[in-house]
Amino acid sequence: MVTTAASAVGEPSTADPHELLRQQTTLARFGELALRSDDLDEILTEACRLAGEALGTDLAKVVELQPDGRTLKVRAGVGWPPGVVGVATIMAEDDTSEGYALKTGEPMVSPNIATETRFRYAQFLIDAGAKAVANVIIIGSKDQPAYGILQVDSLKPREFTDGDTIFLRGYANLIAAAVARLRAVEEVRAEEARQRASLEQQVADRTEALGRSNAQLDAFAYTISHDLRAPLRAMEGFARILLDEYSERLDATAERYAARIVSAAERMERLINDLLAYSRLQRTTVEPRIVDMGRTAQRVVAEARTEFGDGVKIALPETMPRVVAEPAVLSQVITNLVANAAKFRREGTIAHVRLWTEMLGDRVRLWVEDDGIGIAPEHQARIFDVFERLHGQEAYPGTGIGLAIVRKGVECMDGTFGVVSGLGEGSRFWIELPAEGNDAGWTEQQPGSR
Amino acid sequence: MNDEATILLVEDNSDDAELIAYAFRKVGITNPLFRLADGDAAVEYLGGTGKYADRLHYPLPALILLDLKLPKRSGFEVLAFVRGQKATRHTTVVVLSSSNQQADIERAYDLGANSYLIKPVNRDKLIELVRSLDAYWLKLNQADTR
Repeated sequence: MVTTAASAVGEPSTADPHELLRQQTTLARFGELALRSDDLDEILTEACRLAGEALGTDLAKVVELQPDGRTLKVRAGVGWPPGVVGVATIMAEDDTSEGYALKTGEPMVSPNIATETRFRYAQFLIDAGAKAVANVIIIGSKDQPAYGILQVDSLKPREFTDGDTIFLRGYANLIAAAVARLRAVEEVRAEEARQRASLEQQVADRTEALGRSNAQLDAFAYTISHDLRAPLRAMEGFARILLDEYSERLDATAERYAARIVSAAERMERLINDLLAYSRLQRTTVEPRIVDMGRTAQRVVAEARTEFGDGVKIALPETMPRVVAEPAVLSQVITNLVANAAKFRREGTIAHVRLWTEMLGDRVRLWVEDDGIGIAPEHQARIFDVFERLHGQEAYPGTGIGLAIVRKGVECMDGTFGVVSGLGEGSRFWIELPAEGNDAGWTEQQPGSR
Repeated sequence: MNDEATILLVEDNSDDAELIAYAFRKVGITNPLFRLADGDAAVEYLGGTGKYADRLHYPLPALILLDLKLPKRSGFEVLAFVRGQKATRHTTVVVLSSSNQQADIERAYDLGANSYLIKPVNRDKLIELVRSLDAYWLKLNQADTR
């Protein structure tokens, strides 16, 4: 401790063991507060209160060094009139005791301000009636400047002993530790907030980009299909008119050519529809619902019976279990499977198609069986790819997208699919979906994630 | 509706216009069918300006078949015009478009279309469509003929 010429040697510190014990207990309790609290002002104010109480001074304060490095602001305090805490400032200059304390890092004591010649004191201090002052520096963490000063002020001139300043240092060091801890916590939080903000921004940007790209794809698919359909209408329409109204003026060859034009137009129409359906599946988020698969299947079969007429016989059970699916997609999937079963019949025969279901645990498997030409094992994976066809258009017309739609559609609904078949042995296609009541298999679908 | 009432077809695609005219013949509709190929011409006709002021030769139609994608003014603008002038406020307008987009359908109804039909690719279906048009809008529906 710096003793000055003007002060007498300090009085002996109160050596009362009870008093010492009390002071040590108080310090220990404060230490716990400093460790646990997240509120710096609470810690600082409590330090002022306890230090002031223990030392019997009426006033105490913590002044915080401001970013300019020269001003100390009263951050917390007890005993002061209004307008001091959070407001009043002291200059940390060489001729103030606070400035000196900061510079030297040692406690500074003025036993009597009135007779103090080394330093000048802030007006608010004098106005409050302080007559003696003890300053202890609150050190900063490694490489950091000091946080500020813990100061106790007595309304009467008083000698502060070594014991007093050591005691104050105990509080000051605990405060320093708390400040360092809270600063570190604050930095981590700020960093987290920064990263979170950055991530959120990235997500927002990506979502927007995805939205734009989806919108573009939609517009693209729509324009393509719309613009391709117009010439198609002309081709199909006029060729048909030729066939109907001008047949007596056309020879057999001309009629055949006109028929080919109609046929080609119809194929193109189917291709456009299938492509649109496929591309839409890529981009939609599918909303799960409970679907009565039996009703869906019956509608599909009724349409197929109309389309294929006597060429096909279709059998299906009266009811089917309910599944978790998307109605339009399920309908499309079953339609494609039934159409294939009807189409790929053996030459000159009627296609016999059978639908049935079985329960496999909490999933429902729908079988679509036919007695048609069958599929060789080496081709069974390929046929679910886009544009894969195993036969020429003459033999069996098709777009090569039907089964790709089945695959995409079933995958979108969190289901599985497969085929059991052999060349010349007919085919049994199956799809499997969660049964009603089992939503566990359904995951949030993001557009384009599959 | 009287057999002499004019039907106005606003269609920019010549192939489609030709096919629709054919379908009308096939169904046996004898009303005069007048075709315009862009939105400006449609507005002039319906507004009775320029050469279309001669209502003797260019009478107001009893039914308008309106495509949406038109050069110059769009089908929507024509529709807005039709609904905006007293003489044609109640004229039956059937939108005949290749667009099945929800936004277009909504907008057409918002602007006061009586009906929205989608052009079929198939000639047979087109004939069916025109037959239905005839049965409902030309024969059954009570139009405001004033």
